[in-house]
Amino acid sequence: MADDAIGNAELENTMQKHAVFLYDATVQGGAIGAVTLTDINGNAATLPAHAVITKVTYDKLQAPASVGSATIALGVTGNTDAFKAATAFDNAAYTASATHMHNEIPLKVGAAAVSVLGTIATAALIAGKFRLIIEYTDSVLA
Amino acid sequence: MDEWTDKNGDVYRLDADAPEGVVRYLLVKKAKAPAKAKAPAKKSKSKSKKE
Repeated sequence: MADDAIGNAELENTMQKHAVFLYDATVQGGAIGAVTLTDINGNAATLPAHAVITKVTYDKLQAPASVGSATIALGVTGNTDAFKAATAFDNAAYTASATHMHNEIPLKVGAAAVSVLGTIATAALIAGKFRLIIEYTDSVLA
Repeated sequence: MDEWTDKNGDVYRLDADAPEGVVRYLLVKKAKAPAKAKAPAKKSKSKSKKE
């Protein structure tokens, strides 16, 4: 088996799993709205139903920029600020190289898989790129 | 999912004009702000003085 070939699918339900989501303003744009983050290859990705999210780490790749007073909230479908409440794009939470996001963490995903969202409000972003590294465990009970 | 409701009651709908490959939702209905709690009635300034 090649290096790094073991993914979440190969780990048993009790083991900690990781998923990495990407926002890139040059790809997804910075318009006001809730944009779905992708996996690191730009493909659609979700967090599985009933997963228990235990840790969310923001990894800045390029600081967000805006010509207005843009705010960014981070969360999931149906809970747009689960990870981070709406916060100014130039706040230290987004300009630091890496920070933990723990607004409502730990958090259990509901009965359906959810997308990870970055919700931009007040003004558009003109730049910005970051990863969200999410640690979770599959729930064995609904 | 084309439309969903956030926990606070905001309604988001799929943005049909988003660039190809981008899934974006627009806020189409803002939840009503909760009614402010009624301020307690002010106490009367008149005080009975003890003599």
